[in-house]
Amino acid sequence: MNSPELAQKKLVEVISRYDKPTVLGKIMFIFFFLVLLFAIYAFITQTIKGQIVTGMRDYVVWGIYDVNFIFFIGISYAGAMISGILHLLHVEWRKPIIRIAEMITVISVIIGPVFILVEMGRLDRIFNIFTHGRIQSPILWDVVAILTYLSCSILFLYLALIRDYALLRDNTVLKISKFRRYFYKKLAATYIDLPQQKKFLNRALTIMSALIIPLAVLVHSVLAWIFGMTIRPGWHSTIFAPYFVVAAVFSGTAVLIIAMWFFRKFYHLEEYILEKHFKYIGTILLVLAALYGYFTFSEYLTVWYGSETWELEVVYKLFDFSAYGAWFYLAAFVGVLVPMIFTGLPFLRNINTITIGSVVAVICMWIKRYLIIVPTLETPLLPLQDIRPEYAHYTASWVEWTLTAGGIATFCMFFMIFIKFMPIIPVADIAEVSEKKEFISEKL
Amino acid sequence: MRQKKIVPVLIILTLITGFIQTAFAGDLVTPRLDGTYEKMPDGTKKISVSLSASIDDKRVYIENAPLQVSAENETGKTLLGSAVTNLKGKAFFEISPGKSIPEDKEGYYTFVIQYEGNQKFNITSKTIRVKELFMEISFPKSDSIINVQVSVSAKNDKGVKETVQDIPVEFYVKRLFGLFKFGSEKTDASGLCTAEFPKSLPGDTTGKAIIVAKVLDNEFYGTVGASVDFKKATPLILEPKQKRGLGDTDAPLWMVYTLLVLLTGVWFHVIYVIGLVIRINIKGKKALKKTIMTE
Amino acid sequence: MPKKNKKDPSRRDFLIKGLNIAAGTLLGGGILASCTKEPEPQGTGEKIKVLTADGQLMEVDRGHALCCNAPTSKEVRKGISGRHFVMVIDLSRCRNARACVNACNKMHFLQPGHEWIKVFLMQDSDDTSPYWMPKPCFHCDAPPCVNVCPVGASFKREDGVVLIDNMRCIGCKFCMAACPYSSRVFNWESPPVKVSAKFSPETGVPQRKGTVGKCDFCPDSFANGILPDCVTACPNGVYFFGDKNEDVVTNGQESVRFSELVKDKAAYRYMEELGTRPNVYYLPPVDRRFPVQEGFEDIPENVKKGYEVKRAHLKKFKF
Repeated sequence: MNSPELAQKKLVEVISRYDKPTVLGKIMFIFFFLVLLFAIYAFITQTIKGQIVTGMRDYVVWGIYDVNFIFFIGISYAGAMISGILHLLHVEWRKPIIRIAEMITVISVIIGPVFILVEMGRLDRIFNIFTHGRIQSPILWDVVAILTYLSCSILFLYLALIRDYALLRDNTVLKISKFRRYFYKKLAATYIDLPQQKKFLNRALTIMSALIIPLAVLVHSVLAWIFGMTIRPGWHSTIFAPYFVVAAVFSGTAVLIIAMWFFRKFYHLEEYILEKHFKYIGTILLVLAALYGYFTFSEYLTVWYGSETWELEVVYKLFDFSAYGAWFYLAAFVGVLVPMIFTGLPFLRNINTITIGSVVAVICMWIKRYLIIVPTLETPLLPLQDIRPEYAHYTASWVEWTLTAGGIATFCMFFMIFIKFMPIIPVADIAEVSEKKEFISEKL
Repeated sequence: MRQKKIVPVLIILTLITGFIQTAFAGDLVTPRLDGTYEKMPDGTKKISVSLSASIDDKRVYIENAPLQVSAENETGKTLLGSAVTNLKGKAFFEISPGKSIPEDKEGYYTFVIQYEGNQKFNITSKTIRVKELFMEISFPKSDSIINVQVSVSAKNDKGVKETVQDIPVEFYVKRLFGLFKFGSEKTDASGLCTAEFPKSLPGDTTGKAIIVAKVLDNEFYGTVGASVDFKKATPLILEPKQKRGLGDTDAPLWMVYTLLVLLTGVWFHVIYVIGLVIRINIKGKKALKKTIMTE
Repeated sequence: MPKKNKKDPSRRDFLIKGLNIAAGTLLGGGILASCTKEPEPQGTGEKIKVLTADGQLMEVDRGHALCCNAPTSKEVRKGISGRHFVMVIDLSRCRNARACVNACNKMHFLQPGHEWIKVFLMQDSDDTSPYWMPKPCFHCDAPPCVNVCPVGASFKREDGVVLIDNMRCIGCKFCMAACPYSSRVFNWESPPVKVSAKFSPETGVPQRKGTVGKCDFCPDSFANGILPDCVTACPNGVYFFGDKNEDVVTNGQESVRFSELVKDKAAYRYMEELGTRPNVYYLPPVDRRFPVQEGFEDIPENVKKGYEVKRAHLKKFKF
């Protein structure tokens, strides 16, 4: 069997597994859509009444919007790091999962910044950033970095899709609507597997995967610098940038594992996404969890050992059970140790435990970001006096929670929409591999 | 909108009026009229009046009360003008320097401020009798210090200027928010007094400072001021404004360059990659054309 | 009431030129009123007093709503050249009378809870005695808030004043997070007091929903030699204000040499170690005129509550 025929066969096999939406899928989609609608309603409420409807006040000026922003940008590391690094290292087993990773990247880089927009008091003046932008402001660095990162990750995702689009364009078996066929034809860029085309495509992919790694590091560093550049306790730390980067890769990898589990389960891709993928990515997660734990330890040990009033106040808030203690121990210990145990101990390691470990990691990472933002803002350098008592503490309001839920719903919804237009498994790549060796077999 | 804001004020005003009405229903109250005379450095004569009444041991200022100011001497009374007190019960009269005011035999001005009264208040008047005082500021030469000399004179009963001795003079330098006092002296027998101008006190960028001398609240002369431009104060040296910095409009150059280098680096590669995709497209199209032609 | 001003441009000029507003009530009379060309419009309602250059009390309409450079003009960002405004706060005289806070709120049409000046009950350590410390914006010479503003809505002027252009502000609140002194307030909703005047960063009026506000040193009155409202309002002469270049500061009653005052009384700047170089100096609370407890007398219940907020001074951890 020659290559194009094999590839087409695989394509039909993969697509037909999930192309027909199930009842559950439809219900989920409607549910996500309703959540999104509710979030839009919440946003309209906030726009009309002002941010008084949020829990943010004069001391805690940033709330869970910012937490979500960092969280989603962090998740986007899945694509950049996993697929970029594995591509550069020519790791063959990466192929079935890179598409999922890259989709996570693009979707989360789209959703993350929306939370920053929502957080702004005057969204109508957003273009002032371009007309009056000041390079000195870390926010401007962020805008530039994220826009570049978004463009690059879209391009990276697209490059990896070209060969699949070529397959879809040439496919005669699958029922593909006219619109979609036209869409595939245009995006396939007349790719017909010429040797030169192959060479160009490979070169483009290598450049992009090399480019996307430093870019991703920079994006999250810039994000950390937004906090690091202020003279506030808990933020003004030199390790903040690498700390954020490690935290981001950690949470991104965990989200990738969760996404793999979902796709494997609900899109019947058991033959493609194998246990070994979970184990390999699980090992990466293990290393990252250890690294992240190390950074956390280093950060809080340094602060605790010193005796600066404000730094200590923040740290004690995190350590004390009467304040954020429970959350802090959950995020710093459970969030690191549980994934490590489930990915590290061979007798506990299987698809489900690794996924559970990842879920714990993701939730704990969200909490950790909350603990980075809120306690610091609740610790002004001047006394908390001559204020309205309700300004002193932050509790997220229903508007904020609704918008957060809206973000997660949109994240899932985008996935459902995206896979309508791009095969979830990079079929062309896999066909190529299985041509060389018997790829899809339990032996590997 | 505007009406909304006026309403509470009207209510307050009504309440105040009501309070006053109930407070003195029946008998008339004699208000208190205070007045001060001041000769400004430019020669303008200013009379400040305050009209108030004591009600229940509380001072209440009478607003919107018509007052008349006139000047008196042996020959008669000249009406200078009228004014209405403001919300704080105050009114100010200014008499421009050129205006001649009748004076009496001894050379005094007598200003009479009169309040006509109404159904609540008695007629009240206040008389201010002052003599015009003349002050001149000069800077006698001295080696290391800067001296400011003031000579004070007034007209005697013959209308000739004569020096005034033993009168306290305050020395000020004008600053943005009011006057800064640097000396206080009494005139000597020749009507002169001197104070040292603090050298360390800067003038403006050209070294200019306005020096003001004042006689305060004198029983014969009221408050009298004189001012002169002093040009030899320490000039102010302004630091040149920083053009580029974290807090300035323009970013430090290294920041601009770093951003440019990074952006060019990334976007060059992105454009190159897009170019590769276009080349893939072109190559494909050419190849397709060829196959069609050969067939 | 400010609406009146919009309709009456002549009145606006009248104030800008700083002509003898005091004589505004003059009705005329040939030889009187050398400079007042027109009578003050009636029915403008509430008035406030301000202090002029030569110590005169003047009366103007309530609030900073009538004048000044538009946000777009060059002057507003440049400031008054050759000036460097400083404030000296004498802590030994403060008794939390709150006249400054109230005057500031009134003049800038601020709602309660949005005070630009806060008065803290400070206690530096457990064994030292507490004292009252009023805190306006410090107008730092190295302002962290200006550094981080992405659109230049916060800016530092040549005369040392840090202002906010709330027509440009995008409401990102980065400046609020960056200010180590928490000097900034955010308009979480539309301000309940409507002021129909045109906005100028120099007046800070009117405030707008979704933008940041803070103490502005009242630069609109500088040109007329009028002191900021907190300075004139203070019954105890706590605030001294002036131009550092002129080396004289005044609290409205007395004028003193700035350089001598800060030297003689060992002035300090709050949290000098942060390197923000504030333009507000504090004179240490020595030989205090009022017992601290007096500060709790005659303040409304809701203000008192503001001093009862528990700060999480958590117990030290022994590991």
